[in-house]
Amino acid sequence: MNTSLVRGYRLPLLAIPVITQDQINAYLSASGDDNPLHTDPELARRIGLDGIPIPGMLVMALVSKFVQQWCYCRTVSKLTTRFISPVIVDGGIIIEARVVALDVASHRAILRITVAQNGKVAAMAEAETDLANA
Amino acid sequence: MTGHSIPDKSGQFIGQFDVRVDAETVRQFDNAISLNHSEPDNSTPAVALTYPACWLGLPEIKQAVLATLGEKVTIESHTLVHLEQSFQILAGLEIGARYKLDVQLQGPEPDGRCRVIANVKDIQNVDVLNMSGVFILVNLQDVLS
Repeated sequence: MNTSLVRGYRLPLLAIPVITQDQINAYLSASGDDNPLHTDPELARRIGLDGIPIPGMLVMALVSKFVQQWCYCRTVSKLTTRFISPVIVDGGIIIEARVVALDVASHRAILRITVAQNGKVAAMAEAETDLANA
Repeated sequence: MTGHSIPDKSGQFIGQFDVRVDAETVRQFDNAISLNHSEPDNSTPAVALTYPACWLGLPEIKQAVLATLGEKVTIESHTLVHLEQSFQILAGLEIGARYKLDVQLQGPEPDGRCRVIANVKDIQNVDVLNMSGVFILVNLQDVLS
């Protein structure tokens, strides 16, 4: 185990500059999600949003990719995400994470992850990971 | 992590559904969630961690959940907005394999929130994955009126 990995370690952040309607449509098509909120700007406006909200499960999928691409992650055994505020199409997101629990003996860590858009927290997640030997 | 408060009680069993990990859907799903969109990848990737959530969107499963929420609740009139989701992975999903998906519902609470619990077993009845999602039921007619 790499000794630089300690509780409080911050993962390199991931900035996704923009999530487009085409990306949303590709996700909706692949996932079978037919919620009109993700395609109808008028419906989004009527519920008080500034634009079409990105599916929460797309945000969660991006979080899972972010964790799985972390160099110390071997596998993810549990991932929980709370969707706090909508991520709006044609905007970007920043995903940040830190190690909040570390068991060196069992090679396991818990990450706390934040997804933000324009400085506002959009989702919070927690991932339990089995660590790769570094 | 502290979640949305839904009382921890046994849920109402919605049904058991046969589901399959389809290679083409896995590829499309992986491309849709790719962090690198510069080059479409036509190879068959591993099954994405959140891929099983697609099964909850299958019309027969979604309709079964909505019908349990109320007599007048249909795919056309209502939608479920996601508040929270968790995946507990016990074993990897294999492309082409068939699984059994047991779905339970807790709620709805007076504020419209409900929890959908889905347990995935392989054809030997071995637990593979547990999913739990908290949703709020939204009447599209109320929004549009």
